[in-house]
Amino acid sequence: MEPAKAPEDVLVFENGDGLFGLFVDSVGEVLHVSDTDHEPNPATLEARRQALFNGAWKLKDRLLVGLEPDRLDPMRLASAFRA
Amino acid sequence: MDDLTREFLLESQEGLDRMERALTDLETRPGDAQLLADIFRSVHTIKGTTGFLGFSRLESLSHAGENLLGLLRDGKLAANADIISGLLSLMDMLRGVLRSIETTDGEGESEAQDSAMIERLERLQTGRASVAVAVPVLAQGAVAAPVRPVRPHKPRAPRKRPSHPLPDTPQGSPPPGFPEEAGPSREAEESPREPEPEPRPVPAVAAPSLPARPTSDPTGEVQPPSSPGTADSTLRVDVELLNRMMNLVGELVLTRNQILQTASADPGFALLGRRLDMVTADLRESVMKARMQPVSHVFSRFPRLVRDLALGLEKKVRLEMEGQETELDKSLLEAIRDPLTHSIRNAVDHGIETPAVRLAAGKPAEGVVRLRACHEGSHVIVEVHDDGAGMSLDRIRRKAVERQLVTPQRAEQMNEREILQLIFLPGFSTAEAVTSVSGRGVGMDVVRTNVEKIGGKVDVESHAGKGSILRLRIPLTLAIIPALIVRSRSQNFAVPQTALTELVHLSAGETDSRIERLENAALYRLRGHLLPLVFLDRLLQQSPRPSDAPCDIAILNADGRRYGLVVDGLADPEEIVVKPLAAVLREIGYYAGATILGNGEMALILNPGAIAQNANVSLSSETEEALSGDKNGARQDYLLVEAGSRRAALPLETVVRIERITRSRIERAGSRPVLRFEGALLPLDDAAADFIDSGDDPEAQITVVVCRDGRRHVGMTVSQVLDVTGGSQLQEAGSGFAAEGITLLHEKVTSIVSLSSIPPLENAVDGGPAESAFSLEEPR
Amino acid sequence: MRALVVDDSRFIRNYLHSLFTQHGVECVEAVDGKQGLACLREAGPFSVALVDWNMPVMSGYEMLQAARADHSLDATRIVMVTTEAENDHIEAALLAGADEYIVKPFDEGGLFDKLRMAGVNEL
Repeated sequence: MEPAKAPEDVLVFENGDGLFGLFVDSVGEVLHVSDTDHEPNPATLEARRQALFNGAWKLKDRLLVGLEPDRLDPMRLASAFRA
Repeated sequence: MDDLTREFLLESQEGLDRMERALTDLETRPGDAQLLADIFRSVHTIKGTTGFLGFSRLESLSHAGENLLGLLRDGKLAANADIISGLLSLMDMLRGVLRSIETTDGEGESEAQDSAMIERLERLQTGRASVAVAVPVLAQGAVAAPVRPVRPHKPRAPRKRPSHPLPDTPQGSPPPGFPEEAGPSREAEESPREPEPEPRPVPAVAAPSLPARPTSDPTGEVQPPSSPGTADSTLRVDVELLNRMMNLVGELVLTRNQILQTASADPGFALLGRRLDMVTADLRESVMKARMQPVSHVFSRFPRLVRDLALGLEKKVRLEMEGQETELDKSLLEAIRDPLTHSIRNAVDHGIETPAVRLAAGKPAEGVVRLRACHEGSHVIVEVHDDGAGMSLDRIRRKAVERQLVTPQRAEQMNEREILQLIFLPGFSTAEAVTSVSGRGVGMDVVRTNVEKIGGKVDVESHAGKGSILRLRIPLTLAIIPALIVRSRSQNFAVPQTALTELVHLSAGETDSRIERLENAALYRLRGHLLPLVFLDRLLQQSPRPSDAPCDIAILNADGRRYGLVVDGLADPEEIVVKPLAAVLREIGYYAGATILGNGEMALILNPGAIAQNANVSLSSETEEALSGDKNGARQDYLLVEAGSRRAALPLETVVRIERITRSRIERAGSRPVLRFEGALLPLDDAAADFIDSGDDPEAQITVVVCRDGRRHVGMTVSQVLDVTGGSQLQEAGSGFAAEGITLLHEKVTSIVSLSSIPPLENAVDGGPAESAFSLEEPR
Repeated sequence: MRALVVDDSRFIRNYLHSLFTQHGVECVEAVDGKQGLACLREAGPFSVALVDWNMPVMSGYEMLQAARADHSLDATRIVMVTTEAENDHIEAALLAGADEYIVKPFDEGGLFDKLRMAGVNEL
């Protein structure tokens, strides 16, 4: 999940104030996940990631980290890391 | 301090403890001659003995109390709330002086306080209660009237007594020199006069309780510690000596463990070993018993506490106590003192409603707090039960969200039990509901931490409108605990069993795939929920284990923190003797002590709570909820059994008990297999009939699971009980309807036994209501 | 010589015990009148019994009456231990057959003076 140096893809999100983008290495696939498989962040996760992740979905054989667009909003991020 | 003084302090404190109990009882039974005689004697004894040691403050104070009590005992004055409050204040003052003697060897000086107190007690003798109350006990110089100086020494000459003080005809304002010697009765003691049967209406604040209500006598059944009759057969022993004895017994247990593990071909040796085993167990029990004290030592302070709290809050509360004779290790008893005090404060302050609210809810104006202690196996259960309003789940939820202890979404999904657990989170009960009574900063989290520190558990139950129950589960002793021995990089560690909930083994191929990671956080999917993992080798900075090596995960619950401790392997559980740690090891913080194992090796005892904290395992209920709870009620616990050669599931809530019986006990009633069980007939499943006809050994053992089916009980014969486990409901593909009769256990589809398929007994069975013990309402 | 101490206060029992044993007197203790009476009858003979006035179960006065009604115990001197508050009882006690009384607090000299006055000659 390290930000890539030469991003190839940008995911674009829309929030109340406008648009923001998230650089990613690549886009894998589109999955349908169910709320019943979702769990919040484990407390043992280190603090910085606590702020970024919104829990994980338990797929059959692996865990899928949840990135909640709201939490990635640059304005919110700034305040989250200040706190 | 010499022995006599020490003896005096002990005895006086015991006397005051008894007096405190009796005084609070007096409120409900104001005319009880026995109580009055007991209270009188407590003060009388103090006064009678202080002279020997020259404690003049105590003497003049107890003298004033004795005079008032004499009037009460002789029925010349009726006890009321003012008098009881006055006597309680006197008692506090006497305690203060005793404490001062204990710590400074001197009584301390406070002439103004003493005079005010003596003045107050004298006023109470006149029956002019309202005046007496107006005199602040501790206010220095607040009493305008010149006060008789405290006599430094007891005059020896018998003094003249005034004529009868008249309780019922209020005299004019008492002259400053109102006769101090409103002495006790002149009647000889053998004919104690009946107290005047006129319990006067007490002032409004006094919470007059209805004497007619049957109450379990709160103190009656308990002998005071210095109970007469035991004095000659008992001995005071220094606690230090007992501690030393306990340590030595510990050593002996260790030696025994080692001897028992020493293989020897000599049959005589095995015999000796067994005898050593028995004697050691006996000795250990005896020494443990010597350290036991009845919980009444702690309970005795509560009647007063409840009384004062109730008065302050303008509530009516009765305290009922049960099982005061239940004994507990002295050190543990000390340890539960504060948690219990806090719980009782809570029950009175937050649990019991005001009389108006109670009446409006159709309850008696007087609330009841019941304190109950009893044994349960190697534990003592202490319950604080109140018949108040119960806890408002909504309020708990709101408060937890406000305090950011849980997210709003999470809070919405929680079930009742989980919401109640929230009150144990640190930071839950600090600010809002702080009254002068419950105090600030001490919350239920402290109660839980303190109880868990001594290996106990706290649980709470609440019923809306009916009240709450707080349950403390305390081990009988601390010195010897059952522990699981684990190995990490060939070192032994002991994990206290109290923290252990289950074990998971991962074989060589599984470790990599079953231990999942969310970035740097290792997790294990336990029954579908993610459990944080702590690797012991990494925590202790041992040489790391290869990542694909087999391992065991000990699932721990420490102070509400749930996590899995990953270790290399497990050894047998052992009873271990806890040895204190050297300071250098203690400072590391992960260890609770050390011990020597049966094989002679040393092992450090892990402190699961400290490890959890260090690894940042959250105390938040989220992990707990994730593991134990379910969001839609779709999960249920089952008893997994093997019946015939099939696996089957019995809903755990229906299971009453599991019985081992010999085959020959199964009989036939009509065409049905039945079992005579607790004086009634228990219908069994069809397969049980096979046991009657089979030619096998009639003495062979089989297992019967007794289950509740509606209002009746039925029995299910099984070849073995495999596990208790949570099952998740299966849904039909497409429709999403819940599948009936099957569940997913250990990832296998398992059928649920249908208890209703066991037919009821035929009515023709001779002997009448065969099923009566089990079916109360079924038509015959 | 043997003495019986009947008192519900451990402090007083210990105090008397130490005074007696220092003087080579064997001291037996009881915690109330009932036990005291049983001791007189079963653990005797005693030269003297020191009996507290106010005790639970059976008061000192009741014990005194019962003891004096039992003539097999006549040889035992009975000394009542009282406090000043019980001065009024002294007369009743003496009438009921007590040999002496002693008012708390007392010291060693006071105790042995009273015992001699009660007619305990072995001291």
